[in-house]
Amino acid sequence: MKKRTRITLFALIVITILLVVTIAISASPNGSFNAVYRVAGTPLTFITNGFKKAASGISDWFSYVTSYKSVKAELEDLREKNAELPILEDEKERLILENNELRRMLGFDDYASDYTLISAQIVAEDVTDWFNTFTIDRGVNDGVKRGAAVISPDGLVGIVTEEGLGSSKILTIVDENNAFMCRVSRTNELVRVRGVSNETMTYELRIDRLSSSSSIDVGDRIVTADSGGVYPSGLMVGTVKSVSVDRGTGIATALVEPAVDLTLLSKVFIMIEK
Amino acid sequence: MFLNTKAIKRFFRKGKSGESASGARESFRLYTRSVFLGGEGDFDAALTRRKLAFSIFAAVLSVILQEAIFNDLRVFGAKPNILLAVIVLISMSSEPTFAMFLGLFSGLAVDVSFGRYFGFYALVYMYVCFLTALAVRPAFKGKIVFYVSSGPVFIFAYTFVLGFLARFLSLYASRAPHLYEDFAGHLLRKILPSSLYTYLFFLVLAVPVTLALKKLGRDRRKGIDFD
Repeated sequence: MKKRTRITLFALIVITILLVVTIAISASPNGSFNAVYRVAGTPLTFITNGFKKAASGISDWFSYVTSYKSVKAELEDLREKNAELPILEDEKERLILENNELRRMLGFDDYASDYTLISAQIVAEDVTDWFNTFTIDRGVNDGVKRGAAVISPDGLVGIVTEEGLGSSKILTIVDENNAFMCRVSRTNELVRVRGVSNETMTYELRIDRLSSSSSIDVGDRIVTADSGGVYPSGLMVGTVKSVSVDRGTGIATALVEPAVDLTLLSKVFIMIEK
Repeated sequence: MFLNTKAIKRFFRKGKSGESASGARESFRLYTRSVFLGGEGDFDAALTRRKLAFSIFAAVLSVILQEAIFNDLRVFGAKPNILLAVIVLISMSSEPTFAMFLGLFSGLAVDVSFGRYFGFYALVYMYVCFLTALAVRPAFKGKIVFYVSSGPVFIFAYTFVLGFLARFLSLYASRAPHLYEDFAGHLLRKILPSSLYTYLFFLVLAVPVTLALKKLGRDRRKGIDFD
């Protein structure tokens, strides 16, 4: 065997061993390469963010040009609706009161005093869709901390796993490694929710090991519980879409449709404890 | 840079002294043949500084464009893996040692940008590039027809293996009971669309990337002179 070939094979074996060890550390619950991510990830994310903004600018310009007619039609429609505004004002007042009451019931009022919400844009996501992670344009410099909950107006999105200087990595709730305690809002039953394999491009959550006395049903809303301490309580997680019982073991399992459509997500909020 | 414009002009120009139109057409035909099929010993897979710079530039640009534009352009729910297409193309025209390091550093860039397990993409892409460079014999290096015809096999195999390893890793980390709950669905709804979409970019990039690498390498074309 030529000397060069021997050196190449030796380098391949050594690098393989190093990378396998690195992956094993990264896959362990407390494993993290934050330092590497802060040094190398920040400039890469900065460049990607710049390109993404430029691409958005170009596509927005094209949208403006191509949607002129539809915008004009929409303007006419809005003028007609404007005439109905005084009637809608009363309805608005009623809804505001109802919303405040519901927020109090879900504990949302507590968030304003306990948490600061930092808005962030998604700048990168896993190319292959095999791992449910994405990168945002906020980091340590903006007050982001590892373990902070990430939400959107529709509900819970995920958790911060790595924080760089100007960017952070988020692990979404549909990832198989994400398991957390929730409550069924109708019955207040405590359940464990975990992400489901996305081998077929479906994003959903699973509630397994339901008790025999569980009365969970299709359409029930699932919210985070205060047990476990991973996420703040009361955050909307999803809606039960099916309940099945294993004939052999009798164990019931429920599938939950996430409240947030992760494929259309572009903006999120990070909850930073005050 | 990538096209022999003199040969093209000669093809369309008639009455040039000392050369008939049919001679010009024959020259152009031979030139096109050499672009797609290559000639004996006219492609050098050895690394040059310009090739190295081009490869790094192509890999970084593909990651950036992927994130900025193509992540949102889904077809049947699938995204293309442009970096895979680019590094497979470059590896087909390169020596195994360079290909190995190209895959390693491309994968590391991906791991740092958005990777879930640090080192995963570095390991996978390192082997993707190394095995591709080994699999393409020197006689076939630089032949675009060969690249295009063998591309689907490479892309599909690598997409499947990438998915398998990712599933295995997730299984290990989460201690899930099954590797695949719906293998047929997994192939039809994830692997196949992703492979086809990636191969589309592979097709589009095959000619410019290969010609660029030919031009940037040591030129050892023999027998046919178009200048």
